[in-house]
Amino acid sequence: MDLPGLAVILQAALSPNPDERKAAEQSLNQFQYTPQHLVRLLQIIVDGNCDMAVRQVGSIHFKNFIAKNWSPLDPDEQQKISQSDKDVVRDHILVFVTQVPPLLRVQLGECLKTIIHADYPEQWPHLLDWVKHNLQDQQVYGALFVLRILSRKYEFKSDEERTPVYRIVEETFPPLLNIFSRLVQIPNPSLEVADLIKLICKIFWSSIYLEIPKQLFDANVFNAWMMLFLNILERPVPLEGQPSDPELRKAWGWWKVKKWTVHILNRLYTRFGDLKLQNPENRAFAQMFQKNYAGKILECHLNLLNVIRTGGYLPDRVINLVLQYLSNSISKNSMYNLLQPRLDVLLFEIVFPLMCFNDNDLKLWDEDPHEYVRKGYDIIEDLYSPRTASMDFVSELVRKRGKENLHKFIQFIVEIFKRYDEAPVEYKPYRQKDGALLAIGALCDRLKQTEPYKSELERMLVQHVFPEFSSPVGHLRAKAAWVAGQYAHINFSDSNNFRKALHSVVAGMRDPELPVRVDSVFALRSFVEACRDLNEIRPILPQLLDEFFKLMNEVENEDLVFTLETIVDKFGEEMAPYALGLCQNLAAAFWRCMNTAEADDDADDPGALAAVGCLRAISTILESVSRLPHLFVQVEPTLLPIMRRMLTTDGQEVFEEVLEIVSYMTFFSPTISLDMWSLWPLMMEALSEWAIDFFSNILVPLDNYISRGTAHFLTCKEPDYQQSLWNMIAAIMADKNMEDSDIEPAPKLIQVVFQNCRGQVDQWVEPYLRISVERLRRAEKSYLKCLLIQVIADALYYNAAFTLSILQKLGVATEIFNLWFQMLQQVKKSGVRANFKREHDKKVCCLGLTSLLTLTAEQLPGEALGRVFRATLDLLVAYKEQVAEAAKEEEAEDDDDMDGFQTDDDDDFGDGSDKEMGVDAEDGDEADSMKLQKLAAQAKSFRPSDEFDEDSDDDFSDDEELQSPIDEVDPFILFVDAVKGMQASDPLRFQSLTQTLDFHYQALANGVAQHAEQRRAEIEKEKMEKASAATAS
Amino acid sequence: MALPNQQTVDYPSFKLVIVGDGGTGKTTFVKRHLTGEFEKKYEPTIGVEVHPLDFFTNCGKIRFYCWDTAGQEKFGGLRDGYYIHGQCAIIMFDVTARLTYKNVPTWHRDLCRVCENIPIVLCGNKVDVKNRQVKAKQVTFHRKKNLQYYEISAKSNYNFEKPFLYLARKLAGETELRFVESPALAPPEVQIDMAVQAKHEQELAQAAAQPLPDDDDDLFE
Repeated sequence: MDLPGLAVILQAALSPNPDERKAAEQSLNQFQYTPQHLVRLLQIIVDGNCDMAVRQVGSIHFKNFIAKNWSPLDPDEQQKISQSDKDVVRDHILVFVTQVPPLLRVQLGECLKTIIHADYPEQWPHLLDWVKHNLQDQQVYGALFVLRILSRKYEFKSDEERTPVYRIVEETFPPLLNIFSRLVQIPNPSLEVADLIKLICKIFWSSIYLEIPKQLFDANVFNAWMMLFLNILERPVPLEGQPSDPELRKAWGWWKVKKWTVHILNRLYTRFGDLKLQNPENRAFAQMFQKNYAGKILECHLNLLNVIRTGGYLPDRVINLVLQYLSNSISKNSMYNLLQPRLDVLLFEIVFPLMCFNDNDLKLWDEDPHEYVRKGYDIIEDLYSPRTASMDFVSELVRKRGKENLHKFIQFIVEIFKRYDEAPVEYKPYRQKDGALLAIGALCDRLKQTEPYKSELERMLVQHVFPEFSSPVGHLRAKAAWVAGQYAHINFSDSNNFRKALHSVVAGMRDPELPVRVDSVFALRSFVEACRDLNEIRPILPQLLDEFFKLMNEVENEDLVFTLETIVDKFGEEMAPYALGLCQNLAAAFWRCMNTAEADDDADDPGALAAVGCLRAISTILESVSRLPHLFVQVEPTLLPIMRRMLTTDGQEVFEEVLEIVSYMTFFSPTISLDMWSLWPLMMEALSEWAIDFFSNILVPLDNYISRGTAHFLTCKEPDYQQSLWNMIAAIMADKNMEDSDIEPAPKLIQVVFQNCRGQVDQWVEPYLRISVERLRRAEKSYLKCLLIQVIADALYYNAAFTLSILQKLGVATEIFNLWFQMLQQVKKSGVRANFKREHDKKVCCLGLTSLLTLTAEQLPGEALGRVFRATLDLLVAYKEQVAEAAKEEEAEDDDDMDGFQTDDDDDFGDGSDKEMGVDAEDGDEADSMKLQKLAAQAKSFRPSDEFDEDSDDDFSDDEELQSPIDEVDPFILFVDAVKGMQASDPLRFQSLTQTLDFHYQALANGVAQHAEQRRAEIEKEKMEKASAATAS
Repeated sequence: MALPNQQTVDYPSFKLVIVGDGGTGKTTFVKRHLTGEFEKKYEPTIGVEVHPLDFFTNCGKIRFYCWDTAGQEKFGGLRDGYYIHGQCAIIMFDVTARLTYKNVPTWHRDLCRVCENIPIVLCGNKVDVKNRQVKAKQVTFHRKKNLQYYEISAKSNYNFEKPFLYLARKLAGETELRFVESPALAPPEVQIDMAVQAKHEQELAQAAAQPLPDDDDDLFE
């Protein structure tokens, strides 16, 4: 097709006449894959004689076609654009992008993005030459436009992916600097100049974001750049042309330039200007930056903020960034010395006013209280808010330079309190009081530790905070609740004061203003935590929960749930009367949150967060009433729909939480209902499809089903749970893609079956043994090997003769026993046992080995008998020692807790003292990190030294708190009984066994026998005690 | 203003582009006026369909040529090519499908690349459905970009005229412009719960007054 023909088609594609239009679209579809199509389109796009609409439709078609076909998502897809066409496009688009009017340039810009991301540098090595060349002539805008797209591609690229940046910077930064310098010198610059400078800023930002390009290490070059940025930073934005509308104003070109400049300088300062953070090669740069620029920037920033004093305008984001820079400067001596002469003005005339309630707050409070609440608790807002930045500045100042500043600042606050108290009602500085309370709350950590404030806090609360609980001004009532919450943990000398605050906060939950209610609920959490006598709260508990749920229906907020968790933790079983209602409310809230979060793939959705919170709160409640099984029956219908839905892929985000609920429901309920059993297939499906990472969480409810619902597990045929379990375990154990550590719960489940269904699952013994042996051969991790051997041990305990015959039939008996004994003997360099580390592991092995002793001489020949006997003895002794050791540790841990409390108090003064001037105050932080290191070292020393690093991850000695039928079995007694049995049934065999034992093993045997008798007596005594306790009650 | 190749009428006419995700009700919305038929069956628009819609105002009759574009990419035809010469636009999303709201910025960006500075109305459709996923107070995009927002329900004719009235006023530069005669609309399929809607409207009014987070998005553009 020729050019005029294509132009006609494009023109027709714009026609309101549907037939013309459709015909045109059809021809376009037909021709678009023919050679030179893109080239012809380009020709039309730049043809000034062509109708603008035709050129525009051409550019859009061109853009859409390139987006779809330039670099197809599927690499196997056939290339739709020929190399020669691509070459022509690349050769011409750069020139055209600058020639065409903006309407077409934006479309070509989109194409450039696509092409640069796909082709640079390999397919398009000359791009950079073009940019460089054009930076030197009249096509500056086009060159900057392209360079911006190019630099953006590498902004977040690191390491070798970043390599192309070096050349880009090397080639373009010198001309870029010249242009920048020229632009900065233009008197009365137009808004177009701002656009060009903004492009340069963005290019610079993208190029330095992760690394300082080496070229900038040249002091002269860097200085030239910095002089220009400082110039931009320092000079006022033009007065003319500033929009009056606040929204348009902050987006106005010159304010954007200011914002980007502050951004760049902050980035340089915090990432590259800090000597402490630097790797050696950047150290010189950091020193140079500190020495020559950091101070100058500080000065400019302070000047910039100065307009706030006179009510001048600065965009919020700029204020926030500037305050961040200042906060980062406090700990450095050289910077602080510069800051100091202007500190009072900054603190009292700029920072503090920013902390006070303002017109915008009031407007939001009145017009959209929900948004006011949301904003107040949204951490993203912290990036933009001048207020949060102000609070951070004050906190940092007091933390690092408390000696010179804390007293002064508190004086100032006290003055405000005084002025407020003295003023008549109609003239009270309410907003300043709000700011003062915010400051007091923000400095809470420091004031709680530092005399003389520490001992004055209670009086301060009574005099200046409590009265505001009944302030006519809503935001002060909210602030009073918030501050009171911050200080709920202090030691009240008069318990009436604590009570007064608590009751005021509870009353605040009924405030007519939503933000007051919400802040009161949050404050309540601290009061419940701090409350020493729960009788303070007990009588109002029902009313309190009632208010709580009303609020929960109103706002979705994770922090709300924290308060509920705290209450449930504190009151435990006393929550029983409310448990059902609580769960119903939480379930309702959960569904609301889910509906909000639905179809939303944002991970930071507040609804999804709150949904997790609801499930966690439900778990907390279930745990607190775990000793009241009847409640579980009542609450089941409410929770079933949640469990059903969330055990599918819908619940991926909350899977751990929902499995915890399923675990509680299957463990604490009197019996497992059929409805609860209906969840089993869901878990199996999840496990087989996507939930393998949650296998250990799923293990818990499955164990509960089998151990607490054994009869149903064994008898139910529709569905056949035994078969279903086998299918799942067999598939997972056979899967070659599964890592050893992924499948640990599988052997554990087999053990659960063998232990709980003793004598009732004969048909499964052989299959399970077979897959365990097969998997054992592939296993590398010692922990998994242990678990698989324990399957054998459990099978032996299940039925030793049967199991042994199966192992023999499979032809693996010798192999397995050799491995087992070898693993039993294996020790680490330190002499510590390498395998079967947990008490439970040892016990299972003991039971399995002991079961072998009950076999006849034909089944277990003499030599094997001796080996088994000795191994069991060794293991029993090790088991006994481990049990004794654990008991001792438990006692010691209790003592440790006490120590913990004491040292906590002492530490209160730890960082309260100020560091001497002359040494950077950041030493305070270093001291902290030293302390942390010490703690970490201590923690490390608790771990057994372990030279086999490969094993270290499974080197844990804690027994999982799982219940099992073998808990009731005493291995010592079992062993002694087995030996006695042999002695009675086959005295000759017994005699020959004892004869082979050396003195060491004879001694061990005697010791074990004695211990068994002792255990027998202990167990008897426990039984008697239990029986008498039962009759007594 | 006469557009190239457009059948002309002797009263003012404007090209109105309607965009938004597939299934948000763009076609349904336009057809309320035109034929009075409400298609319950969903048939995706192929490429674009143009419907002339006439309105009678106190300043005389005006016509919107509504370019009802395909929401689904595979039926897109020229897609943003259809926006050319657009003089005003409606971006539609479905309040019962969150994703359709999340895609509004993309539609808006594509639109603004082609038509600079045209009046745009953002419409949240299907407010008659009980299970809304996008609450009125969550709709903030229009405030960032200076658009007008209306909640509508094509099924119940709720607020049908509002977007057209707003656009007519903007295009005419006449804030006092009003419709003197109601257009013939299909009878409502459902009755909208006015109490519920009043609540949404109230939320909306509140949301309208709320300050926006600082627009820093060009950092990431």
